[in-house]
Amino acid sequence: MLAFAFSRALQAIPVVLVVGLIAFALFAYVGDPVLIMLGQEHTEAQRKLLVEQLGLDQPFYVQYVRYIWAVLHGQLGISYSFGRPVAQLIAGRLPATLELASVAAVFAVIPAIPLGLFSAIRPRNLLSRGILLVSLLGVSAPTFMIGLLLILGFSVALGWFPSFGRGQVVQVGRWWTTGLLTGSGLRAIVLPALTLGSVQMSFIVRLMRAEIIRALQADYIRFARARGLPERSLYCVHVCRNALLPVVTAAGLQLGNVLAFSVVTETVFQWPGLGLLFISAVRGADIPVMSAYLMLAGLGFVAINLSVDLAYHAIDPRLRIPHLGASSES
Amino acid sequence: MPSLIEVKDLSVEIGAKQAVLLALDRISFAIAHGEVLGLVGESGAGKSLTAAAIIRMLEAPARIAGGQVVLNGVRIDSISDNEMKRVRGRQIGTIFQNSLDALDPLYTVGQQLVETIRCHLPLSASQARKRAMEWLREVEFPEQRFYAYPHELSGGMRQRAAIALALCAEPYLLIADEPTTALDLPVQAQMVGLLKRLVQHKKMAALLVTHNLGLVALAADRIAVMYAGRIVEMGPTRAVVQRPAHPYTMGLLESIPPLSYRVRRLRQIAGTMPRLGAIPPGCPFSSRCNHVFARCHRARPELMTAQMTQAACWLHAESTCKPT
Repeated sequence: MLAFAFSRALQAIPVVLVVGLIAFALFAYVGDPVLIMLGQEHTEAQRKLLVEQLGLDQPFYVQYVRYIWAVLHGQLGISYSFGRPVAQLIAGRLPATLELASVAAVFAVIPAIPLGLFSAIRPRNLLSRGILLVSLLGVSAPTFMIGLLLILGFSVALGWFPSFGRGQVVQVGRWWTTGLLTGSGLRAIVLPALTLGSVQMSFIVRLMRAEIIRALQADYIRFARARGLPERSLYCVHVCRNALLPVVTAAGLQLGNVLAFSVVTETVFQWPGLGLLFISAVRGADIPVMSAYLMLAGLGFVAINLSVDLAYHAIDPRLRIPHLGASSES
Repeated sequence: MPSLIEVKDLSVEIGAKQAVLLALDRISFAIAHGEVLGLVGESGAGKSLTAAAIIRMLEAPARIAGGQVVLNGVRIDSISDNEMKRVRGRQIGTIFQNSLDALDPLYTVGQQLVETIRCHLPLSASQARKRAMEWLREVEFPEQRFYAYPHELSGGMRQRAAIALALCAEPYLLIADEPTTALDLPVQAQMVGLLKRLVQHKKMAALLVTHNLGLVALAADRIAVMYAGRIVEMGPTRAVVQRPAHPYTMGLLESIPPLSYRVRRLRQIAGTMPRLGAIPPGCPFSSRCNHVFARCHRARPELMTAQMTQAACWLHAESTCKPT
């Protein structure tokens, strides 16, 4: 198990390197950072100097290798537009995004599993049909629209929740700021988390329902019924665990999407997280911030995949490597 | 000996209001303690449906339309669904077709046995575990594989585990629906031998559903032959196999390939079994029978004494002008 996790972690290295290479190949097209930094009024000599200082006169792969070299020495670079170290910028924004993503994931997963189970067991029930309809809307409506509708309903019309910002935050330890400990922070996270979680939740409800229906038709469930197992243990012990396998995979991969969509949600709600930082970096052609964000996102995806794999191993014995001697057929 | 289970005029319908088809037409049989009844016939004859109807696990459009099932003197066709849940596993053990997939892939054989035992009997975890081990010994399953997952076992081992699961709460009746179809021949014979031993040893009754006549001849005390949802012949195994009275049974026996050196052309029963909606009036087999005569089209024969068995065939009616 440890060896497996380790080899997976090693696989993260090429993934991150390739993500970085692609990112650098595209940076030539994002705009001219020099123009943005110097403004309209500058001399050709000033421009040439800055270009040389930043190494922008080199082909992208040289820039890339230099960047990787610097990263290996712990240097993420200085943001062009903020003039502050990128590492500091990211560390400042990371807590907001992680909090938003985790609350969104909790919003998505906790209700989705029982709702999916219910709609699979009682397909004709009115509530089940309602669940299916709403989840269809959730899957198909774009994230920003859900966000805007929520703002329209709950902040503009009802005034229950703020429409933007993170509320009041408190410092926890040296590196972390949290909004989850203040009233205004808690109120502020509700709408963005709902927006961000809605797609994932609808998706999990539908997947869970489909998987339960499939599991219910399996031979071992029929056999378990014939053995006289009570309904409750039938569903809780056998059906759910079998149905959860694909759900865990999909939900894990969706968590990656949550991070990706957080760019949209953070823009809609002006949530001071990484997504918002990334959007402003794109506007300002802030190459150091963009490259750091993209590599971090790559790492995030690898980490998510790794934890999905580990969860899978915990649920499904067929993936575990059999103990020597125990596998011989007799 | 009094019979343990008695099935009387059991009928099953399939379909909704507009198109109702009679899939089982007044099936009757009884099985005594320690006896194995073999239920044979082509696919679609209604064998598995009979098994499913007895334990009341028919799939949605099918439902029991009439008749009685009496187990140990209690009618189980009319008790509530909740009471029926206590009958399944505890009084009737069932092994289905495809028993290779009968075990939940996510739990060990031991976990599933203990779960089943504790669901039916008031035992502690360690007592249940002990009993599970006993059952594994009983079905000749190596005890050290108690902690094995189903995918780590061969087909024969999985089948043994499924048998142990079906029997671990000591039911009175075992229903084995095509228990050996997925196994290779030597294992099939082993398995049937094991079932027969267990039935006699535990004084259970067993209903062995199969299309494999050779297997049934090996294990069953009596045979019931089904055709188009009816029992067309029933009698002691020996009599049915050696002196079949119903033309359909004769046809079935003739279509078993012999193991002789020179392979002659196999005799087949002409045609196929009629669809449920197209069963001819009178004798259901009349459309394929070599001995058919006028009466067969007119009236449906019930089981009647014929030579050494009971057959639903007008050839054996006392006052029939048989064709020459």
